[in-house]
Amino acid sequence: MKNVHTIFRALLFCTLALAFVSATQAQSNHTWVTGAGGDDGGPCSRTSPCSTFSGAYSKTATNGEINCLTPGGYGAVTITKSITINCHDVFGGASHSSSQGVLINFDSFSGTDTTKSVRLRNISYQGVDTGTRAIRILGGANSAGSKVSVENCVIDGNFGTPGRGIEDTRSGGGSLLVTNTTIRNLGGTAISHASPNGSARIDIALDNVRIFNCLYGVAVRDGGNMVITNSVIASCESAGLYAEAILAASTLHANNVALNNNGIGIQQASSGANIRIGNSDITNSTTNGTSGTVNSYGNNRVAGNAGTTTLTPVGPDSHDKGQQ
Amino acid sequence: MNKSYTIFKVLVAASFMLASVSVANAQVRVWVSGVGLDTNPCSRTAPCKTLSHTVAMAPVNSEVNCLDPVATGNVSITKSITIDCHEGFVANDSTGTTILINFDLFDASDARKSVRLRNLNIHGVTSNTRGIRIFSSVPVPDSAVHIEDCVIDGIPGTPGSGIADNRTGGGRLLITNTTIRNTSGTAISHLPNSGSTRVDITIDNVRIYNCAFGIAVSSGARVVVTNSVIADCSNAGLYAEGPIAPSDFHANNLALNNNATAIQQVAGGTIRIGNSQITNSTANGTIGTVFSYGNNRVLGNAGTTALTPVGADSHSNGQQ
Repeated sequence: MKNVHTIFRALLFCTLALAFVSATQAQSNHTWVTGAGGDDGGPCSRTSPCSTFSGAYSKTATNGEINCLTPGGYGAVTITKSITINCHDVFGGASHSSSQGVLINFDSFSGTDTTKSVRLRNISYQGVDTGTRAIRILGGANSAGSKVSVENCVIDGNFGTPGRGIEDTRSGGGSLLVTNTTIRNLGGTAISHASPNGSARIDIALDNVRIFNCLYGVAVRDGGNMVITNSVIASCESAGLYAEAILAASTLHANNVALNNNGIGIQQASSGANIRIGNSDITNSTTNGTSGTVNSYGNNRVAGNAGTTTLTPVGPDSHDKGQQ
Repeated sequence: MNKSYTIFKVLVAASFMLASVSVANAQVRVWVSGVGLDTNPCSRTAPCKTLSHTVAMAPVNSEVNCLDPVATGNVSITKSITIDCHEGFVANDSTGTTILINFDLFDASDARKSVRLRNLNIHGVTSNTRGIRIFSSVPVPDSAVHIEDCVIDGIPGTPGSGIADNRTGGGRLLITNTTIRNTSGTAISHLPNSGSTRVDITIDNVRIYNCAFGIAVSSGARVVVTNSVIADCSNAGLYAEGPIAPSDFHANNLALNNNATAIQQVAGGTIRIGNSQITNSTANGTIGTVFSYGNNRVLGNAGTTALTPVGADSHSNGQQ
């Protein structure tokens, strides 16, 4: 009997030890995917890489990073922990026809994941004409303090419903940074902030973003504080820049933005939305240059717009100082 | 029993074949490699060799990606598609037009009429006539061509265009983050074969060096150029004409340096420029009427530089 007990304890120990080893392997700080010969059944290590983002995601620890070893199509993924996906120097594609490319759901982040930070870098999202959203960001109260960075990405081909490039519907607050990114060919809004049931502040910074052929270029709503700089928004059927305020005020501050050939260059949809624009070009709008109250720093270039273009000075006349 | 087993085997084989065809049809991403084979299915693990064959194999709205550097011949595009060779290198060593986009041959069911070219390196070598040519003779007002992160170099033939938009039927052209150098003709040329249907052109962050004309537009063009450099062009940096219908050229934050003429306006063309540099032109800073927002920097030009204010004096507001 004693022998049996000893054997049982030994077996239990071995099982626990194996489980521990398995758990350690399953959660690496750095994982890899490859387009040829990868296996999602493996550890996603440098020498035994996985074949999809979703396969590597489950093997990556919170705050870890997934890198691409070779060019590949790595599919869609759902994100519920702080993580980086970065395919620098190789082609990392995610095709997501009739669906979304990445779902980031902060409601499902663990309480111990205090960083609440997701970084997507150097990835090409291809909706193949029927994609619904490339990047979808969700979250209620747990999204407070959450951060999403989208860098050096391409988003294309989302004519499914709602046909968005980046959709941020967090109601509990957070921030969004989009840099060096091209978003084109969408049936809806290229970068959309609209929480259906909250108005906690969301800080949004967009820099060096190129948006072509969409319904709305950049749209911000209740609680959104958006700054967009050094960017181009062209050929958007309804409006290039759009701000509204239903539950709470929103702000949209723009500098050095080229708004060309949109239905409306800039649209303020409700009085609580505060739009300010400087050093920008509003040209060739097919319906109106502006709609609603659009505040101007007085140094924008406006030409060739159909309908009405009315800019309201932000303040009194001002002059440059000390320049020669 | 034997007979029914044979039928069963045939049915199984047929199902597998159908499944295989269906996978090929559903392929949304096809692959090309410099060491692939055109007899391959252009999959990730069995890539094709030439860009032209891979494009032919790709379904409408799909994406062609390069696995590694590809040396390719010319390509004719007749459907909506993306070619993205991120970190790959596509070299073209043949004559004629490297990439021809002919909207006349797009299928009627191809509603988007959208072509995206990204991360391509087009090297014309000795006798190329055009890097990328966009063509239509029928109305295609919603057609769109996107050219991003490309390099076009060495187009020494005639007309020697880096990008030539010859659409008669209208559409849109978007060029960003692209370098065009060493062209015997115009780096970016809009010149419809006939007519004057509106073409909207957006150009941002483009560098043009050593050409005859930098950016030249004709009847029906609406072009906006921002944050770009045009240098060492032997005729003019910017050029607008409108022999059949007006063209409109709007420019902001450009450096026009060491061109023969920086900006040339011909009858029918309207040019407005703001916040830009016009420097070291060897013949004239400007020719014709060039409207200015009054905040350009002009220096070191030979001949004449005359800028006409767009409107009355204006002031910045609320800036500190």
